[in-house]
Amino acid sequence: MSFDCSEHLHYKLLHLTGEVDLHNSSEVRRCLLDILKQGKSVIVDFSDLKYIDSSGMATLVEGLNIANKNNLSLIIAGANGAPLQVLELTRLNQVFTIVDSVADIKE
Amino acid sequence: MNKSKLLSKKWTSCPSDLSDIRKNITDVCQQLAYSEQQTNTIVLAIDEACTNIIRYAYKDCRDGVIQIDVSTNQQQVIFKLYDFAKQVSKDCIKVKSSSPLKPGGLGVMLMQQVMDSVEFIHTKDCGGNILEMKKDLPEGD
Repeated sequence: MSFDCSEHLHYKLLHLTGEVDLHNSSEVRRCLLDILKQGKSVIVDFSDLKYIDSSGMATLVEGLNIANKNNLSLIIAGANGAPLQVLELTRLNQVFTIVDSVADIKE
Repeated sequence: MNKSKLLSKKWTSCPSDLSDIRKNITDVCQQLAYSEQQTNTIVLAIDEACTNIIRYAYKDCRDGVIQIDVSTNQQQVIFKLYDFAKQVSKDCIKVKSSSPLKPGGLGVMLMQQVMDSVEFIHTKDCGGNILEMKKDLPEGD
């Protein structure tokens, strides 16, 4: 798993690649919470993510709860394949704002 | 009823082994002709079970052993996950919250949604726990 952080409009863009599981979800958590501590809204780009488990999803839920408390946004973009199935199975697709791709976010 | 063994393998309880466990379960599912979507969910359920073993049975200790046996009968594939830690409460496979926004139980919820049965078995002789999960085989042509 690797990730990189850049900017898109007024958002921080966290691009995840590969597989997120118990082995590495703490790294994603650290990065995500750092961004939110800076008071920035965040897009988590799933387009190159091949796998995410419940520890990864729990990290995103924690991030979403923090974002909501601080009037920030946490958006998931480009979910496909197994990660999209995880979002659907957990019903978290009804909780997160999900867009097809980062390019769909205009404002 | 004929039983066929497809896999019997041991891994450590180090989270870095999860990736290889997923690869082995993917191979088994492909061998059984599950669809890609079904394979994804079965792999997820096994991964979640192993994650729970690492976190709650071995308490994040990395030198434990996780053994996975996979077999089939005429209707189902049977996954048996063995650990050799202290016995844990059967409550470990109960969903703690119905809200996906509350922490805890997400992995168990996934296991129960994906599998046709999930059963926790305490071994009487050598300690440890066995988690048995069954899934109907894909329908034939």
